Amino acid sequence: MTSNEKLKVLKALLDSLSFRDLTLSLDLLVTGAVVYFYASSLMMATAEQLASGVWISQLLVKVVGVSIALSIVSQLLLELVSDGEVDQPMDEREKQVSLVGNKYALWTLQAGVCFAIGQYAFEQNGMGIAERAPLPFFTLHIMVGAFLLAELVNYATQLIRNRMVTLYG
Amino acid sequence: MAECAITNQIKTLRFMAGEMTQKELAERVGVTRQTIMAIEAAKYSPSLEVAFKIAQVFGEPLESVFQYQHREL
Repeated sequence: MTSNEKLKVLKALLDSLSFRDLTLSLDLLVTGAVVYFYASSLMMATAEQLASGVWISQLLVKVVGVSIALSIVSQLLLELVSDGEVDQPMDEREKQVSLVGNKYALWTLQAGVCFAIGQYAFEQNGMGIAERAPLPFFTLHIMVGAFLLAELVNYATQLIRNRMVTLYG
Repeated sequence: MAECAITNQIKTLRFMAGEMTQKELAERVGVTRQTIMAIEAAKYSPSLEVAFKIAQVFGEPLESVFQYQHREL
């Protein structure tokens, strides 16, 4: 492919990008950054920190703080680049895409909650995987993980569906 | 097994309406340009309301803009 053809492909791609695609991409990036922050904090923590309820609570507060700060920055960026599109309501296709994203996010969250309930039950009975739980407060981490994963699934599904421009395929 | 497909003449009608752009049509119908692109490419079937609005913009009856084809596979 020549550079001229590559430029044409890039132009066509940018041309087909809607403001909604841009918003979803930013939301996906922000959630990805929050997941990275949470996971890296857990991986770098000492055994004492992981076993401390106070440290875990502080980490969760930090995660919420990072999430809010990144959301504000992304919204400001969107306001800057938009041409009044931020205030535009979603049209019927976008609403349907949003519903599909919400459906898969809900399934992910439900699976995570079921897993957390199972883990808690095993933990309380001193059997199964709870015996070999890799982390103290494992149930809590499963719930936080499920919540973050559900957000990722929601944005990724909407982005993919928007790019495919087909709902029932 | 049956496959349902809705085809349309939007691209032709836009050309005949003074080379109306997708953006202009989208603004007049009240949807995004990407939705017009999706409808035009037969990747998305619009609601009756949007279909009627599109036909109204071109001053054509609905069946001149959208055609329903029932195919047996």
